[in-house]
Amino acid sequence: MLTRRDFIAELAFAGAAMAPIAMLPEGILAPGQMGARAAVVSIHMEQPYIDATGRALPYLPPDGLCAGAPVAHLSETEFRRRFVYL
Amino acid sequence: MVDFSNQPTMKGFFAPTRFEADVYDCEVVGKIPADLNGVFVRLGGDWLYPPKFEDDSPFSMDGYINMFRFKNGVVDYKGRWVKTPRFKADRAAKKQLFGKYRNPFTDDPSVAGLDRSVQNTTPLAFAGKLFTLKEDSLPYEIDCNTLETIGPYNFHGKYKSLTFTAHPKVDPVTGEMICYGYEAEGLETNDVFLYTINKKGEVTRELRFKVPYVAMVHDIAITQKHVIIPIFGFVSSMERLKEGKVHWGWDDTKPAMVAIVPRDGEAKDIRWFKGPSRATVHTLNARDEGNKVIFEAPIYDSNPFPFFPPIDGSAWDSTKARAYIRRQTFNMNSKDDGFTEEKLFEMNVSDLGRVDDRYMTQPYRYAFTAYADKQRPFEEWKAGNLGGRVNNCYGRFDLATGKMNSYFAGSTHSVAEVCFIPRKNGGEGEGYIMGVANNYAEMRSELIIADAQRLEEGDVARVILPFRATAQVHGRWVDENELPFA
Repeated sequence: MLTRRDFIAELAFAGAAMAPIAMLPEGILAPGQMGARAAVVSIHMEQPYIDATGRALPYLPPDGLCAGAPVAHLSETEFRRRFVYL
Repeated sequence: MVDFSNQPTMKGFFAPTRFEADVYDCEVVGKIPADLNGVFVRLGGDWLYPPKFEDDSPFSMDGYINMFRFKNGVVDYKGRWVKTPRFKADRAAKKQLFGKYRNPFTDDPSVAGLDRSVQNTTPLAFAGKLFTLKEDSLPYEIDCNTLETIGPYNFHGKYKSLTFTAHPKVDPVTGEMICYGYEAEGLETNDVFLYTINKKGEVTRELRFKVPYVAMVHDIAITQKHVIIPIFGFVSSMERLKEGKVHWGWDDTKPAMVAIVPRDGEAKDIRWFKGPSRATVHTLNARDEGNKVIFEAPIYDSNPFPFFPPIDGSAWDSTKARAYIRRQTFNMNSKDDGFTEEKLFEMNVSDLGRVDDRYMTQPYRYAFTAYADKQRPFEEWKAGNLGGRVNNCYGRFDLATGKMNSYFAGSTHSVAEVCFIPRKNGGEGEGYIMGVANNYAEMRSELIIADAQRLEEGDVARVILPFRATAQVHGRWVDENELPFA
């Protein structure tokens, strides 16, 4: 299975080969300033999905995925103040 | 308009859900065992409206009861708010009217005198009825088929305490329920009313006594002859309530005290034992051995709850908020008030432990509880970096050999309290464990069913909910013939 991390790593390595594709901060590749027909790439559940027509809207994954992340930064005291029996 | 955006911990998986749900014929991975017919009923909480105070306890969440109904290999799910007067008042006002945990002085004046209980701790099936329990009020009766709230219940007017524990114990030998209320005559009173209620739901005995100081009395254990009642450093006073604080603060100078109450005795027969500062929030089991009372529980070194802070202003110490399965032995022939204590396992565990309830009051071998295994994988890129901070395993702890068998819930999961379901006519520990897991990668809850004697083999079946179930405190298995299910 191609993971997102592997894909991004390969993407960086590929460099110029992927030049027509622009990448948004969220990790979504979308048609940008490169031209109206650039591929649209979205990533969901570790898998990249590529729309070669360039006509698709990029897919934004729901906030809930990676759903523990919003509280992972909490100190142990703050974490246990809210999550007693986790 | 409701707004949770300024609640820093109510995000992601932990955002309030706030809906009621019915799912018929749930998705199942694996095969539901044919001998599982009944319900796994859970009680916990969710916020209908944001808390009035940022430092309130999560124990103030509105009660939410939900159940997985097992019948002929099919599982249905149903979830409902527990519709207390407090819930109805908030919903009518479209905002949170109630203040801090068990402190009416922090409420909106418009709700003065209203029952402010949230029913969010333990479900109970007894004498053909389903109840929700919260230790600051009477039980609430619930329709076992619709999960709609019927209302407070006082056992035909014979249960006189204003409060009812979240942890009554049902004697498997007699079928009697031993239960109690503390702060029984009202806020900050040091009265405990202890009751025996027969299997028809009739109060057959009441014993009134006082505790040495107003303290949390959350759980008890029973033997055939005695009731074991631990109290510890969660203290309260009318002064602290009037200062606008949550009900409990932690007083590290208070000794852990344990009352041993003869089941057929009077208040004068109670013996109080003293030990080092501990927190025995939940119990496992107890038994009589000659002139000794043997009591086992996952017991914390100190204060487990940062939202009930130390009264001396010191910081909460997470390193002492660890529970270990311990045995305490009380010599009823002794002349002093000391007792002995052993740590039975060196690993810290969730204090929400369970035993095979058929062995309550009796010699037994197995305890079940959750724990965090930091050696297991946690895929943080899928789930968020909660690795090592959440319970990801269930353990079967063999008190005879000191060995532990482990069930691992998954690399993006945490688990709630475990429940043990005995196989009919099976020996101790023969049956299933059951519990709900949070799946942080899929943003959903999953009900785990595993063979209690083959935990390492993983799931027998897993029921998939297409959403997050509300947070659970306690869950119970209710067999098909215990309640009038449709």
